[in-house]
Amino acid sequence: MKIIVKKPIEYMLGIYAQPGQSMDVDDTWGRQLIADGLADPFQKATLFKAAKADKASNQTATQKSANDRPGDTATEL
Amino acid sequence: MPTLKPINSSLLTVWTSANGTTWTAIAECNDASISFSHATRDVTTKSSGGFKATLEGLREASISGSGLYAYDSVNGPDTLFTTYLNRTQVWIRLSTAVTGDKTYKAQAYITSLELASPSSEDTATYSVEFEVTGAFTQETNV
Repeated sequence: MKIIVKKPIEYMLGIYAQPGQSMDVDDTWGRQLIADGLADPFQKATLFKAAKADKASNQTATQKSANDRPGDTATEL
Repeated sequence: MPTLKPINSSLLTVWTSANGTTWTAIAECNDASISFSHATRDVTTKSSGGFKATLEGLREASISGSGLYAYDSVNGPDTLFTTYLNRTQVWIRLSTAVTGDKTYKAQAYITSLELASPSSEDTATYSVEFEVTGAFTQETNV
């Protein structure tokens, strides 16, 4: 399963995946990392939200409102 | 439920592990394979009737993979380079991520690592080969 790292994860001796990176791990370990709060499941919406947040921080209130319509469907950018 | 019918090759990839239980796929993988061989012993004699005779010998295996090179990838060529440079023995497997599917698993060393920047306006790539040390097994994904 693909996950998004929230806290550093050692995946090889002395080598860590850093927050924000995505990685493919076996399902058992992935579920454990998520349960331990070290990672989130990878979702396209995760990328969408991150991109939207970046965009929102650089636009006027009117533009932000237009892009925040309730019921908007998350789409891949 | 295990994968049925001829396997879609997108599912099969190379995984590495420091402990043999928690696995990470090599990054941006686009090609993966495993090779087994058996070097039989020659026991041919004059009484073999002109045919080669053999007995069991050394079994060996190697796993290779390749993919796209990105500096920010997890378990990509930069990690593999560290493993190669430190001559670290790692666990290696070729499998899908599907429960119930077969997985081929062993310990290995990296014997070859290549980073490539083909042509121009093309994508940088890498390839890696692991030589198995000791026994290799066929198990079932859990």
